[in-house]
Amino acid sequence: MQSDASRERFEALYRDQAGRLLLMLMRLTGSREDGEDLTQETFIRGWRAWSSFRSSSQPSTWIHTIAMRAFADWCRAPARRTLDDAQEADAAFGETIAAILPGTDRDLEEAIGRLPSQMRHAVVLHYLEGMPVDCVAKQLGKSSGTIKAQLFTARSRLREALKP
Amino acid sequence: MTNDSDDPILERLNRLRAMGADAQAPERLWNAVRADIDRIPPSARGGRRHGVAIAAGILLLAGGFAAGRLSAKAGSSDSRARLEQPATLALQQSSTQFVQALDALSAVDSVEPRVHDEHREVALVALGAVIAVGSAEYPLEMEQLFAARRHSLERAHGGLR
Repeated sequence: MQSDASRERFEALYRDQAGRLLLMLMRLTGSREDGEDLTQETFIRGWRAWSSFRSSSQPSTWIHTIAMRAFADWCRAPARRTLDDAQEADAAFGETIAAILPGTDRDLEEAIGRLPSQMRHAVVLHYLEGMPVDCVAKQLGKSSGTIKAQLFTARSRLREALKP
Repeated sequence: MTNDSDDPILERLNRLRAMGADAQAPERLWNAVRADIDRIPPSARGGRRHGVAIAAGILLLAGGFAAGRLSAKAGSSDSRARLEQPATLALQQSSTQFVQALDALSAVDSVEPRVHDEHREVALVALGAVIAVGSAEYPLEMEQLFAARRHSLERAHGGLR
């Protein structure tokens, strides 16, 4: 059984990382419900593996890796595979994000939410999570060239959507 | 194409990225996570399974060495001749594969800790069985094999903890 100290360390990891992971997963899935479900799944998986976690790794990196695996599994779910790539985020996506990040740029969040899902994934992982293009490509199972093209197109669309 | 440094969209995206650390998960989400981890203490279950696997490996190892010593005392082995036997070669290949599998565990760990746990348990039992059988049947050859593989085994052992 995990000790109380171990449990406290895990709760501290949750307090430190849950907001950031929830934000990323909500943006990736385009849905508050799915984002919350995946965040919950991430920390449950994390707890199951907590006893084997090695302190030589950064806990934040470790839990982020688990979150990305949970997201990859979510993308592979049979129901998800039938979705059109044009699937947009939930309505009022900017408001949804603002609920956990009050000072956010709502117009930009809304515009990101209106991007086709695969393009949105690339934008979120590269521009908002800071992942290098080749890592984004590996994560999403695309070539680096495809991701670069998606990012270029996405920026054009965002520029157009946010024209004054 | 717009110069990146002049792109106002990029500036806004960068600002958004910088704000990410301020995001707050609602308290009800922690309540849900806590309820789940209270209901299922899987790390404890994993720990027990892991303990059983280690115990099985140690018993196999001890049994193997005991049998190996008896075999050596009986003086029945001719190690030079046996080194050429197909069974010895197969054993060496199997051992190499297990060592490689153990080496791979540390890489798996960074991707999916649950997979790491499950593979680790299987690998511990399997390696224990190989060592036991090998030590019982081919004590001298196994000693040579371990001397040659010491570095790999130490690295593999480091990856297990």
